[in-house]
Amino acid sequence: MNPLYQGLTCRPGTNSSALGNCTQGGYSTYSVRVSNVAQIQLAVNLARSLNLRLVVKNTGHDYNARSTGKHALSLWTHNLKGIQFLPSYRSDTYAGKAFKIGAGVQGFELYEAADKYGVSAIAGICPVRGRASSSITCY
Amino acid sequence: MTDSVVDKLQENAALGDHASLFAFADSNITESTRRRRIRRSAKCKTVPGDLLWPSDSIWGLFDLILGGALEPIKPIASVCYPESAYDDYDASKCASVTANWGDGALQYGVPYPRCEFPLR
Repeated sequence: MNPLYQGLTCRPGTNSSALGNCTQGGYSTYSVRVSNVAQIQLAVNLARSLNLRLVVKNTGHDYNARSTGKHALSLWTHNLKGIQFLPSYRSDTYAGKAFKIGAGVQGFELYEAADKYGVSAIAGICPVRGRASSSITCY
Repeated sequence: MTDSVVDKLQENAALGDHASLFAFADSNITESTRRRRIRRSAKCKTVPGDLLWPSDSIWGLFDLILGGALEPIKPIASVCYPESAYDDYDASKCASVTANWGDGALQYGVPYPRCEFPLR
């Protein structure tokens, strides 16, 4: 993500006199370390009730910074790591092998699962990016 | 989670009026004063200082019903700043954060986006 979206705040460096300020900048305020669906529902309901800014952070690869927001409540989906192999999945347009994966599953984790079941999976060029992501950036 | 769970929150005297904060959109228990405030401020999201911004006790309540999953976001490099409001300067932790800044795993493991490219 481009650090401009966080106001270039709180950059790392060992020479403290050469650093700028360390403030909250464009970072979100609170994060929910999501491990189940009910937590997501509670957070979405709270955000709706109080008109809070709500963002979703998975790995944080979105170059346009949808994974951060000043004063936001952030849903951190990184730890939703469930992977289920479906040997005979069926939908209107597809019948065959499939994976059902949690939002936090990263590309390399899907590859490991595919290897285990002797099948192929497509996870994009970036193995650490969240597979369920809509973002295409990789760095 | 279901409406009945929210109803149970309603019945919990310790939560009082706050239970409606966690109700679904089609629930009939959303408090009307809050709805009016939201309509009035609809163009802007709630920020600290607004009437709708949660008090510390509501954040605490939220954390409680989340099972302790709520955490305040703190920039990982705050340990490099002797005079920041986070007040957690630590030279050796700073050296480690600085040396590993380009390491993705360091930043996927924290609840806010990794920010690096193109400005280092």
